[in-house]
This record gives sequence, structure tokens and C-alpha cells, in this order.
Amino acid sequence: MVDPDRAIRSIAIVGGGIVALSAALALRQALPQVAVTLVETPPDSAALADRLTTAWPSINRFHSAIGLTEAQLIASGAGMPLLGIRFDDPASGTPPFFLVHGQYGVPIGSVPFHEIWARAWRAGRARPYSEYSTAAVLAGAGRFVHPEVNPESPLSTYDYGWRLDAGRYLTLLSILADRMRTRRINGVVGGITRRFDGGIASVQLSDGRDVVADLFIECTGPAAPLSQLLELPFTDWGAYLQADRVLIADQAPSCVGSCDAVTATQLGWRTEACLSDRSMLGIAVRAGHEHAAVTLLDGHAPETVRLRPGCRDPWRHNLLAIGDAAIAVGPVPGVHLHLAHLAIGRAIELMPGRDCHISEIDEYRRRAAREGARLRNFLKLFEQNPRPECLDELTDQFVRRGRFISYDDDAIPDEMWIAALIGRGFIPQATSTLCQAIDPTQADALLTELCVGLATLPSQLPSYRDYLATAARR
Amino acid sequence: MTVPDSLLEKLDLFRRAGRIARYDRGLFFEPSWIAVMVGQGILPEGWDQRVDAVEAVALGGAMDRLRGRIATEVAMMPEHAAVLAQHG
Repeated sequence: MVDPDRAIRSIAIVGGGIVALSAALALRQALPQVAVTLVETPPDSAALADRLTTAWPSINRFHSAIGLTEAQLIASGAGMPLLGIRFDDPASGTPPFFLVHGQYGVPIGSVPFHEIWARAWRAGRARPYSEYSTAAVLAGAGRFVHPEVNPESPLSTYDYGWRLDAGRYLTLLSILADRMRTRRINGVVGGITRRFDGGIASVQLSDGRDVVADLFIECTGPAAPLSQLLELPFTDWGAYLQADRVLIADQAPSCVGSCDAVTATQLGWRTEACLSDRSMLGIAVRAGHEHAAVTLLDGHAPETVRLRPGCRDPWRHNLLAIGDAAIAVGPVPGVHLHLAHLAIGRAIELMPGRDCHISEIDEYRRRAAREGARLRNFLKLFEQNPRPECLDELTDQFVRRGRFISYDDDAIPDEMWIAALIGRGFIPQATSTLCQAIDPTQADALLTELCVGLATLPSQLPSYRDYLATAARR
Repeated sequence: MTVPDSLLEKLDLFRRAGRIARYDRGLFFEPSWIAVMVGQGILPEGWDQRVDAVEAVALGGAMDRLRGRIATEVAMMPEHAAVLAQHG
């Protein structure tokens, strides 16, 4: 933004799902002086961020900003707190592992826990990595309690996300949008009129209405009509990420747990997310295998969604793409909505002036590109038989030296990266000099103490259902 | 000396919008970059639009109070030499 006269005065958000409504609410809250119009287009069944509604902890900041309380979420059946994901790949020969939002073990001085663990694991003196994480142990036992503030408590070592019911959650957001006086209109994108510089002057709806704004944010889903019209370049990740179909089905709820369950099948990953009244099943496969995959969905007739993995250069002129319009990936639960929230936050932080000057939007594009490239590498870990060479220096450094290379613009927290690397069979093969200085007997004692202590935790805590019932009344 | 492109981008973004371009594993954090830019006489022409949601008078008042609080804290502190002598 350059001077007061150059500030953005109006933003139009185009899209009919959770991502569009979330963007509208977040912008309304952060920039109350800006007129926000939400153009509600028909929902796109291929918009996975709107459909696979597992949320990571990034959503909590959003909820507190817009005044949506946890009691509201739980009592309305719109959401349940979630510790993470359980991955099981029986054919891989590696034990099931958990990706949780929190710590694994405790470091000794400046030596990261995974190095200490890896040395003991290679010597046959350690339990699987997840057994040293409070959140993973709770998730494994189907328990949940809110984290404690006391840093001495093992219950202070994690954060949590949410499993959302898309319909009910959308209703809650709708009520808030009206309360925050967001202008909402229903419509279908018909075309655009251009400004002299190539940007969008207005979006024309098929009924003839014209929506004028300084900035347009497209949250429509992968079809992304505005991005197509402005020719935002799309980079295809098909060479790295195999699945290009997602089958989605609902079934009766099995057991309501505090994590999503992801299981490897011969055809691809099968995801199960339990809500209070139903289970959402998803399976990601390659085209041509849809028929065979139906048998893995317990015979329920699924809906098949086309997926073209890849990412779009998200900002050109006065058009910004967010959600599946910007990045489309397979179903590691929670990634989609997490990326959308990070993008909304980044847009607010870097909101340019009305001219959307290239030096301002370039910073957004650079951060998004780094985040996207990093995410693509993370998702490669979940391909069948991930090979070190396809993951470049990251796995090389990790396996050969136990060193994890972290980056600033990474949507995946370091702890989760390390758990995923180890879970997918990338075990550090050498011990760093610093770690060698730690007496193995001392390390073994620490590992045993941690593991034994955590194993006794779940039995001291209420069941997930009981805990939720109490939380809903708060 | 030729100024590298990455620094030109950084300078341009700061001059225009008061933001700091981020680099992977940069050595200095944002407050340091801002201090150096402002110290070198580079003042941003633009700012974060979220600031506009607050009245200019209220904002000025809050800035004055912050400066006042820091000044009071510093005035109450002993001289550096006195602290050294005490712990000597």
C-alpha cells in the first residue's frame, strides 16, 4: 500500500464454500474499512479444501479472530477437536505412525530428540518414534484433552486441530458473515471486463449483474475460471504425485476417535474421518482404478472427484487465487484447509496498494512458491515406495547425518516433517558428534522414562465422548 | 559495487510498502532489517492497511505512551558502570 489514496477500498471474493467464506470473514475482521463482497458461486465438488474438512491448528487463530468459540463448534456438531493422523502402511514393513501437532520426545541440550531416538532404534533399544509423543499416544488410545499451560506437564507438548462437518460449519460461518455485515450475492461467473493494465475491472455474472472491486480473490476450486481468464500459469505435479482421482463416500460412524485414520491399500491411501453421525471415507487413486477402489470403500457408492495435482502462480494484477484454485493435492487430511488459511493470512499481511504493484505482489508469490515446492516434497513422502533420490538433499541429509533442514516458508512444522520421514522409513544412519557426546545409558534411561510415563497417561483421562460432552457445555 | 537483485527487491518493497521481503534462513530478523533501513534514512511511503482501522489520534497516543514507558524504564535504570561495579 503506498499512500492513503492508494489503499484498497473493495474486495470481491468469488466462491461458494468454506474457503471463500473464511477469506471473507478474515478480511472483514482484519480490514473493517474495506467493503467485502462475497460472490457465492455454486459449490465445486472437486474443491477438496471445501470438502475434506480436517483442519490443522492454523484454524484456531482464525476462529478466535472472528469470535467463533469451541463450545459453539462442539455443541452445534460442526466440529470436534483432533490431535492428528494415524498412518498405517502394512505392506511397507514399517510400524503405523502418527502425525500430530506437537512434540515428539524431549531434546537433550541442543541435540534434537530424533537423533537420540535413531541411535537407540538402530541398536534395537527404542520403541517406535510415535510412542514418545504425548499427542500420538493420546490419539492412539482415542483420547483427547486440551493441552495444559504448565510446561512441566506432558500435556503441554501439543496443539490440536478440528474435524469439521462441512454443512454445519458453513452454517456457522454464514451466520457470522451476516453479523459482520458482509455483502453476499449468489451468482455464476459469466465473464470479466478488463482494466487498461490487464487486471479485472469487473466480474460479470451470468444474470447480467456486474461486480466491481479493487481486488478479486478466487476461492472457487480447481476449475478457477477467473485464473483461467487471466492466464495464471499452472505447474503440473503429476510427475511426482500419482493420484489423480479421489473417491469420496459417507458411511455410518465407526468409532469416533481423536485422529483421522489413513491406511495404505494397493491402489492408494484410504482416509477415514469420523464425525458424530457419519464417517467420511476417501481414497486417492490413479485414473482407471476407480472401479477397483470401490471395494475398498465398504461397498458404498462413492463420488469420484478429478484431481490434477499442481499449483498455480497465485497472483497476477488484481486477482489472487486461494484454496484449490491455487494448489491442488491429494488427501493428506488437513493439508488443504491449512494451506488456505496460511494463504489468507499471507494476503492480509502483505495486502498491496490498489495498483497491486509488482514489487508488492511478488513477495506474496515468492513465499507461496517456496511453500508450494516444500509441500510437494512432503507429499512425495506418501507416494508408494518413496525413494531418497526423489527427495533431494532433505532426505539425504536426514538419513546420512540425522540432520533435518528446515525452511522459513514451510506449511509443515518441523516436528511433523521428522515424524513423517521416520514413519516412511527414512531412519538416520549416523550419529552426529554432539549426539555421540551423550552417554547411551543416559539416553536409554530417558527413552524408557518417557515411553513408560506416556503409556500410563490415557487410562488416567476421560473418554473422548465424555470429554466432548463436557466441553460442549462450557 | 553492484547491488544484488534480491537486495533491490527488498529495498523496493520496503520503500513502497514498509514490508520486509523474506529469505530462507536469512541471518537477520525483521526488526533488524527495519532498524537498518530506517537508520539509513529509507522511510516507507506506504504501510499495512490494518493500521487504517485505528484512528490516527489514538495511534499517536499509543505510540507516545509506548515511548514514554520505555523512557521511564530506562531513566530508572542504574548507569552501566554502576552495574559493573556492583557485580565486579
